[in-house]
Amino acid sequence: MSTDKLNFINIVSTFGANIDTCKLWSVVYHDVLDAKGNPLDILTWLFKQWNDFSYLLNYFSQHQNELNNNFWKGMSVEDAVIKANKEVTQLQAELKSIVLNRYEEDFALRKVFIQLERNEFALNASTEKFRKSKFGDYPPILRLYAIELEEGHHIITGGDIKLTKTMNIKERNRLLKVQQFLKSEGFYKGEIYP
Amino acid sequence: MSIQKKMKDLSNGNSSHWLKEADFFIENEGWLEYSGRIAMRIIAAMEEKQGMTQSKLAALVGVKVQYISKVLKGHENLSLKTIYKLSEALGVDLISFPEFKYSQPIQPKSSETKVVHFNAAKSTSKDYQLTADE
Repeated sequence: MSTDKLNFINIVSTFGANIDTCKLWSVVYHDVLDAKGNPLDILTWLFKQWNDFSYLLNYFSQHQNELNNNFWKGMSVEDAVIKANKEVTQLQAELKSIVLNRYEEDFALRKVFIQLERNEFALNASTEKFRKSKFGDYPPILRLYAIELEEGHHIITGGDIKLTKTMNIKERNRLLKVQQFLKSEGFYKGEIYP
Repeated sequence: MSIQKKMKDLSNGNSSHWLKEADFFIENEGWLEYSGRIAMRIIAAMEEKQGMTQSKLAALVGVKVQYISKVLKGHENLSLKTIYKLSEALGVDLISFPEFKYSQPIQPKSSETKVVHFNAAKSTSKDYQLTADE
């Protein structure tokens, strides 16, 4: 199958040299670009954003009202930034450990991610590092959206900083679009519903 | 065809770049948090200072604007000299020093205090006058 067929997306392996055993894939959208204007896969793009304190500060300062509810208990903007940044570092470290240790990916992925909704995954908060952190009393704040295929394969379609219960409309549309594409290509047999 | 083969074909063998950058953030997590906390304070100070842009700040500090961009992302291992210059340019403290054992004012020893009080209580202006004459 040629990727020329995918006029809006491409799919890449997330595990570099382990492509023959890779089970976690990331979508490349043609409108998600790096600083030089080249398309970047969505996982790399999300990690870039979540590693960037200026991005996180801007995001949380614009969503201060959403931090001031019973769920986040009025967490300060600074604490929210630090929490998100710690989570992304932990996500990267755990994903890296899968690469280095050549785990059986489907099993290892279950250790890193917990499935919250049909297509919504978060850092598995039961890990010792998470529980012992300053923010262990709060649930994970970062979300990755992925489509589960056969044999434990997952395709990451996007991600978000989740402050409210509802899914961001842009992320929902991305997910639907990729689901439709995969279904048309015979990859996806589930319902088209985010 | 197995799904593994189909996914491999679909990806054309291309891989994500996240791992190349992840090492830096994993290995330097500790000091990057300090850098990030300073970055947040610089951004807040820039917001408070009317007309302050990254270019102006770069000129005031004597660095390239690209460097300031990295500083604001919280990715720079800032030197004390740079922190001082940024602090001066923005008119704010970017770091503070916690109290430690030598920060405390030196208290007079309790026995000396007693003597001073004793003398003060017993002293009169006459006493002082006498002492001065001596």
